[in-house]
Amino acid sequence: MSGGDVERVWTGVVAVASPRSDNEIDRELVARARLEPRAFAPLYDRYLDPIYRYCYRRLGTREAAEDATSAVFARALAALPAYRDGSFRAWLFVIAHNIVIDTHRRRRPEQPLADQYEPVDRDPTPEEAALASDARQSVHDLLAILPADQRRVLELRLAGLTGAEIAHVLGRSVAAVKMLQLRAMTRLRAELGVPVGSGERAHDVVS
Amino acid sequence: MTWSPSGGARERATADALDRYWDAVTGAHPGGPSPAGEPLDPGLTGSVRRLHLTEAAARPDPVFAAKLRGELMAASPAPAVATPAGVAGVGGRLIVWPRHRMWVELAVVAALLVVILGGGAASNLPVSLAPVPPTAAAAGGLVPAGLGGEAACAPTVTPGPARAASGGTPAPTTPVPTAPARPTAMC
Repeated sequence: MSGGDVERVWTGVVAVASPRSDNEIDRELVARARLEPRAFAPLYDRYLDPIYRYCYRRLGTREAAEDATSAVFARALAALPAYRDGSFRAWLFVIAHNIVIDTHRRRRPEQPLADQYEPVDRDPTPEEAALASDARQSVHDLLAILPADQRRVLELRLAGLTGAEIAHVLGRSVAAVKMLQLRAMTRLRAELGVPVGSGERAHDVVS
Repeated sequence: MTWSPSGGARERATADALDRYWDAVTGAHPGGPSPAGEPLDPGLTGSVRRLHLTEAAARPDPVFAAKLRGELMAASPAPAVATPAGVAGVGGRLIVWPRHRMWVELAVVAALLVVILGGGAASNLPVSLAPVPPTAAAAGGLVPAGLGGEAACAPTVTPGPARAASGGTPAPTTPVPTAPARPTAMC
């Protein structure tokens, strides 16, 4: 089977397996990728965007985000045999989280991590300027007012992780993550100017 | 953190409900949160929605995405040599160099060449005719005096990608990827 065939087959699996959970799909893809490295492609396709966005939000420049994203996937591919159980997405974001920390340390090793939040391009290219929309800046400004631990939780939430996965990535308890996100959102609610009654009740949500 | 018993219980219930709601918003629970779940303050749910709506979709450059994909697919099944900033390798393995590091390492190689050639010229011995000490030959090449012999060429091994984060960021506790130890010195 050629590499292209493998990719098509496993992309097809993802396409027809929507009723299954993401974790189940990931587990199948990982099992396949362990046997055939080219089968890593669907995993890459699934997680390129969230990993890149997370790195971009944490590091602030396109170049740094690309370097970090490259390192994340290369390291994930190399370490795939070591992956056992649990959420592959959380496992991948553990790698991303560590690489972002390493990048911050190389940039400013003398500064505490809590102070190393400056995801702003000082001299953006036109493409980056287009990306740096008002909305992104708005989110950036919003997150910047939060304490570091609350900010980390929301950054991972915006990357699509569940509360349990965030707890895994950050090495915190699930209960602690829930409290951090509640307090973060309570604070952001005022900043967002969301009036009471503008949202929906929990049971109204159907994705 | 400490809360009053009643306030704490209520806060935890709200935190649980918000967590379920957010999982539903991000599609983790396609069926949505349990109808029996704690009703959430509409202001909170509205804020979550608003935050996701204002989150810009910063997407990777398609050229970069395609290039990285090709490099990953071309990688050998054997674990690649990974560094915190990127990956280097030979024989079909990944070659993902951060731009700034590539130039730094090229400059270091160039400087070493200058030292080797300059040392040979200073001693009036043509480098190609200089006798090669057995230890240097065994180590695989010319090693200028003062830079060490086998000891300098002994590969230093750094741990795999699992690194404990410090300085305020907790270290991941579970499946931290464990790649084989990797050499970081090339001789």
